[in-house]
Order: sequence, then structure tokens, then C-alpha cells
Amino acid sequence: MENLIPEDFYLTFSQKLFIKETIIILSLFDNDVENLIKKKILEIKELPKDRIYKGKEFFTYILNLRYPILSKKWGLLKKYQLPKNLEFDEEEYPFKDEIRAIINTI
Amino acid sequence: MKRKIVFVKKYDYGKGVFDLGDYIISYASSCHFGCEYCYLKYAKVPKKIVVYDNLEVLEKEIKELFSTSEEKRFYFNLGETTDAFLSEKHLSIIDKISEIIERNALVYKKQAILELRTKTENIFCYSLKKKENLIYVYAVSLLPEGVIKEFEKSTSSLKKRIATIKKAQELGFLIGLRFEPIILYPVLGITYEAVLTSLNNLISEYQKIFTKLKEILDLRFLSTISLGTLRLTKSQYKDLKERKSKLAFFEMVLCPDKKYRYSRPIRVFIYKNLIKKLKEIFDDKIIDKIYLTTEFPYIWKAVDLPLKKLIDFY
Repeated sequence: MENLIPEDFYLTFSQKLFIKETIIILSLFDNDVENLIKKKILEIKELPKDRIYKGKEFFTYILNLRYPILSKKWGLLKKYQLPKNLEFDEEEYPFKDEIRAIINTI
Repeated sequence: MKRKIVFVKKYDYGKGVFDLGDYIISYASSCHFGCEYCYLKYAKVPKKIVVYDNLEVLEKEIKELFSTSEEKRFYFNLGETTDAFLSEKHLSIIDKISEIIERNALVYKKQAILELRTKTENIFCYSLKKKENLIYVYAVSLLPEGVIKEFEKSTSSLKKRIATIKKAQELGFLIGLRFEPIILYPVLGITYEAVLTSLNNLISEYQKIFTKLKEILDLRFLSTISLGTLRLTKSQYKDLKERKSKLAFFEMVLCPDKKYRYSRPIRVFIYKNLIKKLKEIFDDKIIDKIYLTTEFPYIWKAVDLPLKKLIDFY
């Protein structure tokens, strides 16, 4: 597990905990998760960027892996700055019709 | 055993969740089924099966409730802290509770509905003498057979549960179909496509159940249909994850009531599609009998269901 949280990427303590939890949970549903993540780590390590960028890139990858449906919505909703869990009443937000069309579909 | 805390309590749905307005009567605790998602394992309740017999306290509470509340009609759930048909002893206590409620309903001019929820086939073994002035709802928890085998190992099969519905109708009970918890299982993989395929499979499994129900249901007896996806407390989610349970699905989010649920797009997809299938298999009017359990008003709105208290279905 430890080699799935690369020390040369900048990650906060809570991000590291989240990554550990995600690997455990995803492994319940796919035996190949660890290899998948290892491959991604190597890919990010190759990037000519600093450790902060690499940490961010890696954590985004983990989030997308953990939330395959929600993560598709985050990109579409970026400009509205909404809670990431999508647990809110869209009536309370401007552009509610546009938001509604995104958050209530797969 | 004597119950030391209150018997009758309005169900606490949690922050932001739509309150269905029902009351829980805790006349017994625990059961031997050991369903993998059951909250009772984590609650401060006796671990062994207990039936409380100090019903004089219950009667006082009912009197107080009826005399102080402006509500005319009350919905009592007798299957929350245990299975209503767990044993003959359970039904014998339910019989006494019914007498108390009926007697006081007459005095205080109230109407009462009693929901008896079960996952057993015990309606074939034990009898319950219904009281004339009360409405009884025989509520059956229904899940696909594969889910029952995986997470509700000691309970009756789906086939037997459906058979009990037929029997309950013959006995003159109203029927409540309880599609809860709806569990996304099996999960075919971790990608978007795999989750979508798993969801479509789930809908097909429920479609098969609806078709079987259509064969035996007399719609005159059907009172309500509930839909509710799996929800887990923080400690349950943590525990299930540690025990490598397939209930610990990856795309679950912490909701305003501090419970984990499948993410909103997943829940809305499940509810919308199940409602669509129910309408196709029964008819459009079935919508008037459907409600969501422990869901937020924005989810009701997303699936086009009007917010409605349980009592308003009767």
C-alpha cells in the first residue's frame, strides 16, 4: 500500500488517508486496482513538473477513480462552484435549470 | 423484560430528510437475521431478542399522544426495531398493543394505521386477530434473490415473501411493498461503464420482481410502495469497509444527515427507472402509491414525486 502513495508527490495527510481508503474500497470490486494506480504513478512521475503539480494530478486521478459518475459532473459544474457531493437543493442556486439537467442524470 | 425508555416515538429522519410523519413503537428489540446492513448491530439495544411486556407504560404514552396531539390520524410502524412477524410472542404483543390503540382511538376519536413489516414467511404459521377499528398494513421488504442471499442470509426467499403477500391479501390486510434497502449488487467493476451496466442490471432485477407481483397482487389491497436506497452511518461504512463487505460501494457520499448514500445521480437513476417500470407494469395510477424513504425533498422533486406523509396515503 505504501508504494501507492508516492513520497515525491505533495499530498496532505488527509489526502493520503483518502487515497488509502479508496484503494481498499476499490479493491473490493476490482483486483487490478493497485496495478492501475502504479501505472498512473509512473506516468505522473515522468512529467516535467514539480511535486505540488504531481500531487494534485495524482489526487485528481484518485478522485475520478473513486467517483466514476460524480466526477463526470464536476467538470460540467466547475463554473457554478457547487458542493462536490451534489447533495443540495438546486432551487437555492442561480442557473437552477442548467444545474438540474446535469445533476439528476447519469 | 421491562422497557425503561419510551415505547412510542416519532421517527427521527435526520437533518434535511423528508419526514413521513410516522411513529415507531418499540415493543421488541433485535432479531436473529443478522442482515449485513442492519443498523441495530451498531445501536445501543440488547443484542439478544427481547420483547417488552410493561405495556401499561405504552398505554400511558398512547393516551398522552392521543390526548395532546391535534393530529386526527396516526401511522404506527411496528417493524422498525424488530421484525413484526419474528415469533408468536411478537404477534401476541402486537395483538395487545392493537387493543390498547383501538381502545384509546375510540375514546379520543382518532384513527390509527399499524404497519407490520416483515422479511419472514411466518404469516403462514402465526395468526393475528385484526381489530375492526384499526387499519393493518402487511409490509414486505422486497429485494432481488441474489441480494437476499448475499446480505440477508437468514431471511425468507423472495419467492416465499411474495407468497406471503398473497396470503396477507386473503386475510384482509392492506399490502405495503417495501423496496428497501435498494442495494447496487453485484457491481461489475469500477469504471463508469461498469457502474452503468450494474445499474441497468439492478433495474432489470426489480422489473422481474414487479412482474411477479403483478401476477398475485389485488390492487384494491395495495396501499403503498416505498423506494429507498441503502444508507449507512459513518461507523457502519467504516466497519463494512474493514470487513471487506460489498456493501461498502465506492461512490457513496456523506449526506446532510451524516449518512452515506449512493451519489445523487445514481439514486435518481434508480428511483426514476423503478418508477418508470412500475408504471409500465401496473399503470400510471400506481404513482399515487409511491413514496421515497429517508430521502431529501430535492430527490423527491428530481423524480417527480409530490411530498406526501404516510398517513395521507390512506
